[in-house]
Amino acid sequence: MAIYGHISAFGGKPVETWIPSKTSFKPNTNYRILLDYEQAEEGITWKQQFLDLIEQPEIKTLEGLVVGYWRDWTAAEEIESADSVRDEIVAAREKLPNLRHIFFGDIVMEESEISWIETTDLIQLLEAYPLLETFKCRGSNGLKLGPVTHNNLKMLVIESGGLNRKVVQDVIMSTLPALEHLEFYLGAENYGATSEPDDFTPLLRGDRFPRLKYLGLRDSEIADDLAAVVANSPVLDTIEILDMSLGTLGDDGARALLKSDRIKKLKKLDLHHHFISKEVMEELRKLPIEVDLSDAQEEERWNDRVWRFVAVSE
Amino acid sequence: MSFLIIGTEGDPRVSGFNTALDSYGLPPAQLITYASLLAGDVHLADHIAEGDLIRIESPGRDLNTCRALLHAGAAATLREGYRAIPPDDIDRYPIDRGGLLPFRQWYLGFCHALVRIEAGLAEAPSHQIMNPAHDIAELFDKVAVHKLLQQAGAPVPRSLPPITGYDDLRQAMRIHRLQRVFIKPAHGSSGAGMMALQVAGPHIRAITTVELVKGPGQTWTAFNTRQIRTLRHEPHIARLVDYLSHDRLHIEAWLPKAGFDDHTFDLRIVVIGGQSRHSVMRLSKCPITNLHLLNRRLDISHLVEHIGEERWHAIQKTAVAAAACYPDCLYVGVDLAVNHNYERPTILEVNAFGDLLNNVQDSGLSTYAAEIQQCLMPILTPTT
Repeated sequence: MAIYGHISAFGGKPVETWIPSKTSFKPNTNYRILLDYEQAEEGITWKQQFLDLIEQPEIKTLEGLVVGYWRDWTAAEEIESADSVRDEIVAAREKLPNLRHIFFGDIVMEESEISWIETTDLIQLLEAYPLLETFKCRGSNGLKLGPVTHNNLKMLVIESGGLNRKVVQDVIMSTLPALEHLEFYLGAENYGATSEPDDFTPLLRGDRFPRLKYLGLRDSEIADDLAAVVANSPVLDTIEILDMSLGTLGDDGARALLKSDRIKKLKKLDLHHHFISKEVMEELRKLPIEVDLSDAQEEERWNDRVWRFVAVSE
Repeated sequence: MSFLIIGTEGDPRVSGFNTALDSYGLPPAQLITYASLLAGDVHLADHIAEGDLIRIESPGRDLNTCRALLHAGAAATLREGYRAIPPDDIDRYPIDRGGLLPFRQWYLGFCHALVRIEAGLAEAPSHQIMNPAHDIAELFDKVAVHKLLQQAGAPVPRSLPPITGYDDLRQAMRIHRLQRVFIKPAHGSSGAGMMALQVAGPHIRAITTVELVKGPGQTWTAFNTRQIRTLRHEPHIARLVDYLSHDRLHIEAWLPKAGFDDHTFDLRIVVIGGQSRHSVMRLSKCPITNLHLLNRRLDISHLVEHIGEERWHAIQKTAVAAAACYPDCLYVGVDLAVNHNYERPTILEVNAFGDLLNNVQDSGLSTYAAEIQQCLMPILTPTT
């Protein structure tokens, strides 16, 4: 699986792609800046379009910004890097006093494989927008995101085909007192995932983010090992939803979850895209909470080995 | 007045056309096979009566017809220096097991058959032809079609000049500033022999329908694969590109396509008599969309509903303009992609035999029935 379509809504509003001298600014809309192939052929840049957007008379009302593909399609070398895109948004902070939602990297498979996205240190972006409530990023090559202090951030999502453990550790050590939703796509080792279950220990103690309601340890190749450490952790007493979907969770992890009394106090356990056997699925269905077991996967046998694949990696 | 098809016995295109004739109460078409034409067994003009309608169909997938075409094209291809199977080896070549055809050789054999058809028709009593032989010959050459469309100002992806191999390809990509290219045999069809290649900094990835299998004496034979293969190891990609470049290639920019329902898609629009008619969306998770196995076809109404009439009409207009480059053809199948906001259609291919669309109707007619109606319109309704 990969990601084939741009998002159509973000931050509670519909998203439109901003095209200079074509799109007209509407207050109840969030905008995406992206450099498409044809624009690149015409010499247009991401920056030009962003600067055009922030010159709109009502730009102060903008609440959500979606950063789409920024690289020049026709350049052998990268001209517009994630650094310069970040810097433009940071520099625009005074024009965007109401910005509350940023998605840095609404990039689909036709633009770049998720594992090829070259991103950067995005800490300054969080620091430049103290009112930010949602921060989502896709792609993790070069990503740095913490440790950071931010008093208003409620939702943090990092989508990756293979997330470096340093990013996980830094986020967990961040000071985010308002955080309610924390979601990682951990990805596959072949695409750069290096996390170990131990990396999550401080998070699982449950005191890092006191307002956490949703924890997503998604798209993970170590889902069984993670489930074993998550199953009886104090963080489950705080959160309402545990999301371990899109990964390689099988019977070992599922049984660990079943044994835990804390799991039964959740509102929802999302395990869709999994490798759990029918028998264990039956056990999970008996839990007194909502359990999503859709999209069951089959292991693949190849070269005398058994393979399980996460949903998003390449 | 009756219909005559040049095609292959048992081919679904022939039976489909006869079904359409039957729906008008017309008798089945007379069939002249490529095999008999190539063997010199028939004198085409003898089979044509005044006022007949002639339809040149695809030779199809019939093994013996395919071998006959390869025989007919062998000498000319060997002279040109493209990959060719010598006449003595043709009957042993694993065509029926997915062996990749030497498309130039097949094409030159096909052209040989088309020339015979043209010569036969020149001697025949006056008749109508649905799509003339010389247009079909050109439509089976992606390089020529691309050039003609470009000259006509139709939106087509940028193309690369011919390459000698992988190193040359990468050099051309640098010079022409392309990070993503499609490599297609100039005379291929149905996704056979194709590769979609993408590079970005240290990354490289090729998606292909070809697999090289080592045979005796360190020789490689290429096979079509049913499953799409992804290659990430540069030496493997290079070896395959080197192999493919022994056939005549058309290489063009691989444009990002629009998404729909968690897939990307392109469109096939059949233009009949200058009108955009039967249209389908082809949804895929893979850049090579003409593999029937992996794709989902969706009724065009879903797209029209999603993008609105205005943008849909712009797409149709582009397809009609591309078809107008072949004004003597009654019908062609135009493949288009649109960009992420559905506003820029690009022509991917124009197909001479692009009207095989089962279960797709327009105004209650199949493609074949619509073509027959178009042919007979002057007879049925002489005032319009």
